[in-house]
Amino acid sequence: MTTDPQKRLKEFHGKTCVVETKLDQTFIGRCSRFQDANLIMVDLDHLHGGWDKNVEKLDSAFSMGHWPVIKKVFIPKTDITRMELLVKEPWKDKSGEFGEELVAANPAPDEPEEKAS
Amino acid sequence: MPYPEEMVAPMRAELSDNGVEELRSEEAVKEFLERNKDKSAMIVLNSVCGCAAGAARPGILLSLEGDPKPDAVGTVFAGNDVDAVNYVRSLVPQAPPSSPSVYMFNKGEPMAYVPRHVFEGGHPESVAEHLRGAYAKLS
Repeated sequence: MTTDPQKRLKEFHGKTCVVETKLDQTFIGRCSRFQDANLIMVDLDHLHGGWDKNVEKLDSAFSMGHWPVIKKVFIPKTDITRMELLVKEPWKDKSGEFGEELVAANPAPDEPEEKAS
Repeated sequence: MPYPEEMVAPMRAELSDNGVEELRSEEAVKEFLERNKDKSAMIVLNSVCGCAAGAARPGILLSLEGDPKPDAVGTVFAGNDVDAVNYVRSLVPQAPPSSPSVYMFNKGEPMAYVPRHVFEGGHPESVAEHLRGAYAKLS
């Protein structure tokens, strides 16, 4: 299991992901790419609080999709505490965890820029 | 602005050549649902997206090879059949706009919805399995 979300870019790229940050926020949207240590997400929704506080809304996003109320965000990679494909419902089994120290200790190589589908 | 018809024609044909009814207008969708109001029906919201080509269309066709399956299957195309797509989406207003996606109806009432993320990065077999789970609830 990798400890750095950037190392799973090929798996995440162009797909709907759910991201939790240490600033107690949850983002649901399409993963674009990483740039300058930031994760770029597009067409996304934002929820206040982490996954545990948004189980009902995450369940709804899983069954019905999410509302793309924000066009694009840059999320510092080191702020990401958990990230996984929405379709895997990671809030149910606590998967998708990326610890801050683990990310810093395992920097991913720069990824070539890729276009979203 | 719609996609050039010559570009989307093969994407439409992948479904329509395999028995899926094309519904290019709001009136066509209404007529399709009225005609099948006593049965189960499914409308595929087709799209130019890569996950429609790699997972949704082949997975949908694979799912329709066995039983159970919807009595009738129609399709509208995102970006081109604008009025038809808007009408289908209006039938399930709680579902955010998403394409490709699948809408299922039972006796004229919306019964299930499959959003885009189910198709993203999926394989036709996994998509077919997901859809068959929903078909099993159709009467």
